[in-house]
Amino acid sequence: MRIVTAIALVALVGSAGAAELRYPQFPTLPRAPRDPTNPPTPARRNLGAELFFDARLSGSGATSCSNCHVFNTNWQDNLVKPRPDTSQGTDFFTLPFNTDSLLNIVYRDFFFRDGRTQDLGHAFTEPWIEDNQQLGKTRAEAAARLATILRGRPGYVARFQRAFRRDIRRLADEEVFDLAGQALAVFARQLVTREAPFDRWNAGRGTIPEAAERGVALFVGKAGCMRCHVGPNFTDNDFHNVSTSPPREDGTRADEGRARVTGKAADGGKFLTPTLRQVVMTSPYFHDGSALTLADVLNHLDAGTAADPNHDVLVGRPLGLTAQEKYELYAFLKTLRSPPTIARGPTGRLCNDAAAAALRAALPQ
Amino acid sequence: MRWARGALVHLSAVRQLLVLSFLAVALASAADARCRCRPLPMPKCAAPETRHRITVDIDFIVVDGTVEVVTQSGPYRVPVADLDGKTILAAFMPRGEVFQGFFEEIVAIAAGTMEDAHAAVQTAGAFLPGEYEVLLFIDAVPGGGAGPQRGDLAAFDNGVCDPTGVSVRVAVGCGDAAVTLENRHFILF
Repeated sequence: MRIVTAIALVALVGSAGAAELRYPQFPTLPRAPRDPTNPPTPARRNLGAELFFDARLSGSGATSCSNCHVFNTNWQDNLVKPRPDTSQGTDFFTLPFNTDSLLNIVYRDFFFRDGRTQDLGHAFTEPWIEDNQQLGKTRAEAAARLATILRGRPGYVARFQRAFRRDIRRLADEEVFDLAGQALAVFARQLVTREAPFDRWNAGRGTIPEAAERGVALFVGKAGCMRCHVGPNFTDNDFHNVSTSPPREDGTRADEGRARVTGKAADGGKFLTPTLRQVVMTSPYFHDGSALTLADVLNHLDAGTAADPNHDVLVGRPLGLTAQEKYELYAFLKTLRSPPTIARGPTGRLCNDAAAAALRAALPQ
Repeated sequence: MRWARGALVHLSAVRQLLVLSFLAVALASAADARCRCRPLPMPKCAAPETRHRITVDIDFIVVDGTVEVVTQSGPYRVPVADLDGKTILAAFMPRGEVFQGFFEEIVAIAAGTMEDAHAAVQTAGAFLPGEYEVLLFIDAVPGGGAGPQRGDLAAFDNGVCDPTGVSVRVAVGCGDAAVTLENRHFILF
């Protein structure tokens, strides 16, 4: 049973308040769940923040997680296909995918759009292996390089000791790699957005524009968005094909999606349903950033063009939305915007450029 | 007496606790204040309903025939020849809003043309006093529809309070306003 769906069901069944919601399909997002195997201590969180912002931990020495997951723009970059690290490519190197926002990552069951891992710590070490930060072509290679960099800095040795009570000089490379992932996971678990205007209105408090009220009715009705975007985080935590990576003439796809993980042809072109919280601020859209605006997304889904034989039957028909209805859906999506929680690091709250600069200036030596 | 002394000790401890709590709250408030976005104070205008124009000046610094812009992997040099004569498109939105393909939300649109590494784009008189977002891109790679595509230069300023990530903020007071965009404002899209 998926975690978030379970939380949603508990909220629906167990809480009298849920019955009072205008749309009980969208209960208020619960507080971020804790990971008992990786307690969120300040030492781990601070270490995670330092690893997140440390560009020295990359192939080029110029790329950190924060290059693409920008701290003050909803932890994403608003670019179509970023080119974060060029140490092993040309200077116009691109990734095949759109940067995912890290907001509410703590509520996910899968990470990456193909859902290749269900372990958040593991998810954070992947970019060091892949083309994002390019520490190595294989896990062993990247782990060895990261461990060497970290062991060479007494500040990091001390911080790992404080956070995990482990001496990274005496650990195997891959153990160091995993601990770094765990620290990053603790840092990322605080990146949350909840209690948007829609949630208050849904609970009978506050107002939203009339167009948005009509939009949510369309969302659960005619437009059928709720088939995938449901629950407190507006995602079913599942994989769907909406013809964003159809097979080419030779049968291959620009991105195989979920099939890359499962090996099943039927999963070709399927991608993880993203949350819709804060969606108005996280353009572009789809796994490859091929939709620049929400209007582009709505037009694509409205057309119901099943260019892919795997196109999901849930969303595989023209919706017949009018321009006004699309605007109303957009007006509703705007009500899912709320200021994200401000992350904390060793130098304080990461709320502006000066705070981020202070953190970068104080990175372990 | 013993009870009284105990009570006094107790009161003293409570007082210390209160002082410490007050200090903790004050420190937290100070930290919060640093993080709070205050709206820009608006001047009282003699004609508050008058709508003003915004001029966006693009003023790149050129080094060796190239302009250096931002990418996620560090600086990138774009030849001025790739910019000269290229179209500039700008959409102006209310503060905090971004363009999502619904034209009814746009306050004004303006266009211009790059002349070497410089350009000026001016709107019609459309702006009441307040703050606005300028979503602007230079169509360095022609084609690709109405929006920016890879290789175009898009303007941004993440140094402002609550940045959108895709715009530059400009304040309009009691008269026409102007904003100058330099190399640091552009990222290779």
